[in-house]
Amino acid sequence: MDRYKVTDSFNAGRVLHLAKRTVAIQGRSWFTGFAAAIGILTLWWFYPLLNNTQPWHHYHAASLIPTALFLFHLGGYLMTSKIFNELHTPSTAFLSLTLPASTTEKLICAWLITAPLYAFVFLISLVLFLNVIQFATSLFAGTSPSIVWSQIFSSGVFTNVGTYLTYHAAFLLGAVMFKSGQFIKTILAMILISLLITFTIGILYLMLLSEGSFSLNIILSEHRLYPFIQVPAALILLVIAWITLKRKQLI
Amino acid sequence: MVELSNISFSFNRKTPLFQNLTLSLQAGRNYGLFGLNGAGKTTLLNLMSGMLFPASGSCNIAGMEVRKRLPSVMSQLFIVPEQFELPPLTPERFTVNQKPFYPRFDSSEMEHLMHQFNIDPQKVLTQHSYGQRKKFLIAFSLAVNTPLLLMDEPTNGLDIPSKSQFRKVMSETESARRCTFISTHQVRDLESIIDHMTVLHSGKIIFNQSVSDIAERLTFKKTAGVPPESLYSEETTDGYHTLFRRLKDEQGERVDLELLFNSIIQKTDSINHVFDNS
Repeated sequence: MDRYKVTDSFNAGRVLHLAKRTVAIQGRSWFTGFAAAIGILTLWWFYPLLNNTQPWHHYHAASLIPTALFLFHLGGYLMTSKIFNELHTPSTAFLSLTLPASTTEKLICAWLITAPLYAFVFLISLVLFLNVIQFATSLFAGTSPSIVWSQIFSSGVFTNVGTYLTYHAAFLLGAVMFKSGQFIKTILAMILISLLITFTIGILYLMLLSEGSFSLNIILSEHRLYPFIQVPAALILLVIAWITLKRKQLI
Repeated sequence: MVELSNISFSFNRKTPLFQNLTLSLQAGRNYGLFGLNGAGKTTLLNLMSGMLFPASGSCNIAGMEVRKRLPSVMSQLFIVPEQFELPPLTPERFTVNQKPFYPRFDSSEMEHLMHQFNIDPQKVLTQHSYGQRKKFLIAFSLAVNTPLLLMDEPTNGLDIPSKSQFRKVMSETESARRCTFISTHQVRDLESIIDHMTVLHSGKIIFNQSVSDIAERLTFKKTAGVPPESLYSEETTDGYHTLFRRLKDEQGERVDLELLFNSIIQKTDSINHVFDNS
């Protein structure tokens, strides 16, 4: 058997090498973003206490969770939008385009880093950060420290992480599709498509209702139907991202 | 090794760059690709490396289509572009992250080449000069030991000692398995390296001969005027550099690729005719 033979079938080892390579190239900017998020949360914690708008002993670190979740979404979408940056500049694309790894491996690597791994790192960081903050608050307040746990591992946080994982697919597609300003362009595209869908459904609804033969009674706001729409939608977007990545050229 | 068949490509619909371009490259040879500005040399290399897709026709490496960019195909080629940027990593870290994808990568060869090119393995690549970065990429491209090595203007941006180093390194690392395809304007820089001359003009391969065949069929001489039997002549400060059809047992100067290139561009048919009537 030729020891230099490279197989075309999916290779988890190559995905791992791709992940190491991506971390080596982009790790510094991720770390900067992470440090900035920690800085913002620290300020968010410290500012009201410093201005005496809230007494130390009334403060609970769990109140930072909504801000942390906002930063989680923002940071994740920004990170995802930049994951294929190397591809869009002709002077850097040669290394990525000619890299002996399949499109599936490249896309799976990008997805693993920016979705489950990112969410996992976020949850771990949130546990550590909030407990450090709670401990520091207790020291300042002179009270006994308590552990922040149940508020983090709550349905609210997990719903947010789930929402991130589905919207993330749109940003991954944007990262492959747009040559520059991927984050903004993806948001604009999402708004435009949402408007288009709403408008189309609205028109259809009015047309069918006006004939008096059909009544639409789906209440999306109850969230029960969301997973049945979002998960297939995310999968479709990932398939489109794969096709776009497969067809990506230097121009 | 490499088969390009009936390649058609255009950046816009009105002006096609290549129409039915066909070219075959063999292993163990160093091809020099020459052409005027805008002839499409870089585009041809990009098509061969799978970074661009032809509108029609196919480019195969060892029988596999490059445009599919399958790992088995991509592991057989490496390209050194003319303009490139490298990630902000040290040469050492870059190598560690990139080499697992190339099964023939030779770490000791890389170390040797880095030493030859005098590259600091600890200094971040983005802090190196353009010439140093280019030498690093050339070193890496040789250490990956891919059967096909594509180089676009490899000596551009290199200083005079580096050009000599490049020639030395290229001849040292010559491999019977490797096919090297070098696109260049700097004919003189690569004269000692290449053993096959390919000329691209107006989207077509107008000349494709080995240097040994060229030496066998053509003679390059300095003359006082333009002899009537010459194929092509160029006036220089010390007379004329003239190209003749080689007669049996005739001695001439070494192959002047620059003169030959100019003659091919201006008198394509008469030069090719020499090779047709063998």
